Amino acid sequence: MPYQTEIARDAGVSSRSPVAGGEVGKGNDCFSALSSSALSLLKPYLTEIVFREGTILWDPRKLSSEVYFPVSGLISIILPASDGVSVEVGSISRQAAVGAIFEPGQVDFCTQGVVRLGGSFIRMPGSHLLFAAKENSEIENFVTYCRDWILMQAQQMAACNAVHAADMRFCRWLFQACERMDTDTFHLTQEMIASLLAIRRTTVTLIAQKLQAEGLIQYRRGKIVVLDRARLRAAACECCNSLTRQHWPSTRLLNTSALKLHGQS
Amino acid sequence: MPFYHFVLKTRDSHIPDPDGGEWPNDFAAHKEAGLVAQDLMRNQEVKTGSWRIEVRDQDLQPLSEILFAEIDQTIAHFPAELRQRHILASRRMAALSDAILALRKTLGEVSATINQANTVMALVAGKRG
Repeated sequence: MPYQTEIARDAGVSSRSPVAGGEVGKGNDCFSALSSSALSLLKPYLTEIVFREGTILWDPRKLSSEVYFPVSGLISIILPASDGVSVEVGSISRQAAVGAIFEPGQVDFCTQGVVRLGGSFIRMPGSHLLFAAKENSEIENFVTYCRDWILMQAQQMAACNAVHAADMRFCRWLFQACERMDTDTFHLTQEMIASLLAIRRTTVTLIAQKLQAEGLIQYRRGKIVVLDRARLRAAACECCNSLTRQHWPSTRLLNTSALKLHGQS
Repeated sequence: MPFYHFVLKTRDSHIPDPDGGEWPNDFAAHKEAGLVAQDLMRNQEVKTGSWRIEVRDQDLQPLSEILFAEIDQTIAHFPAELRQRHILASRRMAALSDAILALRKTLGEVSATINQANTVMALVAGKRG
């Protein structure tokens, strides 16, 4: 299904004035941050698609040729190990895009892209995005910011997984998901959380029960409701303070646009 | 397959695993408890030394218990005597935590009973008045 009409409506490209992170359009936030001329280079190739949780978008044996822009879902970048254990090294929601954003052959992928929270996504062929990036500096910035975002998260997750406790990592993941998805309710099974954090399912159950007893969350049958986001953040590891809104590709794009406009005026 | 439950015992509370799960036998359930303990204590070994995981059967009867300090690999290189002292201290701390929790529970029950008695006394006084 062509996405041109929806993009034009949701992204609000007629107005380029930078807006705060929570007020951007209903689509992927990066579209709102691009100028109409930059967006017009992408529009012909954008397609809307709905993915269910658990959909594997790429893995080391089958690389993606598509770029995915989450709208209401979340993609986990997973590092699978040979013994069946896996750990998340990054996640992408509507503030960024992921998939074929690297030049072919530039990076050897060892990760798997899994839809962790199902919902709607926009996709386009990676080759068209990379071609557009060579033609347009805004899109070039966008691609760079998305690559940076993946790298920053990978660095942070490496440290977090190595030095922080499981319950603090659980809180960190949940808090960041609240911030990025702009919701307090998630449909996540214990198995899903266990595979994100490389811990046992039973460990997830006990941590969730502990947080529930402390009044931070409500957890029942695969549904988590965050009751107190501030206390959840306090219970999380310091990584919450490292990867904030200012690092989101959409925010960086808006800031770059604002600086450019300021420089012109 | 037999059904088992786990109870995490921290310094402040006893947290049950309400869902439970199936394991082939008691040994496998005990082994799972050990792996969960390692998950929970990783990178916070000092704080969690006195924490325990209790394995219970499907009727919630206790089968075994693991003291985190006993399986703490970060003190494996210490002399045996020092390790034993740490384990003993953690065990005493766990017993103290249990006693404090039991005391809190008793105080809560006493408080509830007094409140109930006050309500009844107020009703009785009202009828007499």
